[in-house]
Amino acid sequence: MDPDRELVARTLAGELAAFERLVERHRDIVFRVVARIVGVEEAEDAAQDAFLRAFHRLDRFRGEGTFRSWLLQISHNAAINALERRRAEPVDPNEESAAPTRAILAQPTPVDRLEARERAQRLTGKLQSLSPAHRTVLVLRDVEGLSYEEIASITEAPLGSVKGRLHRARGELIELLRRNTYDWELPR
Amino acid sequence: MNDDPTPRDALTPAEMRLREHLEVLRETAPQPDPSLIERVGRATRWQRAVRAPMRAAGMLAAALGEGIGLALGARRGRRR
Repeated sequence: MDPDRELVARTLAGELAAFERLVERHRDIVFRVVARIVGVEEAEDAAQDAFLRAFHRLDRFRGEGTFRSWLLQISHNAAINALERRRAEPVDPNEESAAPTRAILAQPTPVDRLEARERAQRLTGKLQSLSPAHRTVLVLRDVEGLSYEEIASITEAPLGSVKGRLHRARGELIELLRRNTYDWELPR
Repeated sequence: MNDDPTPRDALTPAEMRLREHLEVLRETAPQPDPSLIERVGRATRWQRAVRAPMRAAGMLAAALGEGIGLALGARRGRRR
């Protein structure tokens, strides 16, 4: 049983505090997913947009899957729409991301922390140079650890397409990292 | 969360290494501003507050438009 079902019902009955509880429950994953797609700078707006879209469409939630999958599907669409609005110039894959990271790090020493942050920054920059479709499946699978079925539901794509896309995304990212001056120690 | 793990042996050594790198991103996850809940809450409140009057205004405008259309149609009919 989806633990969010009751809060959804209460929201539909007019209890706005119940929706705030849903936001509280899912804000971290929604923010992480949209941040990986649109970048941290635009993630707050995209996450807010996703929650508001979900609120206005809540009566369309049929409960066939979990509320989280449904919400992430909306979040994914909100992030893709944000990218389309931005119409960004293509990112140079050889250029590292200058985006500031508000990363919460759980590394033991300052040196480790610094190194992890640098690697994360570089990797985030490389991820941004993948196509949104490839970036999304990679983030949902290899960063967030979601199941193929949930990713298929979120991206509204057949399971086979998700697997194929993921395979191509990994290959593309590996090639990008191999061309990088930083040694990512990727065996051939 | 991960109920369908890709078997490690199905990945190439490079893919396995890539996954290790991507795990770093998991540890350095960006966090939303704590005010996000408050902002969403505020927006849902005012949007819900204006939704009913807006819908009523829209229905009224549609009804008026239809009424004017019918009246003009009837007038044209009388002229003929």
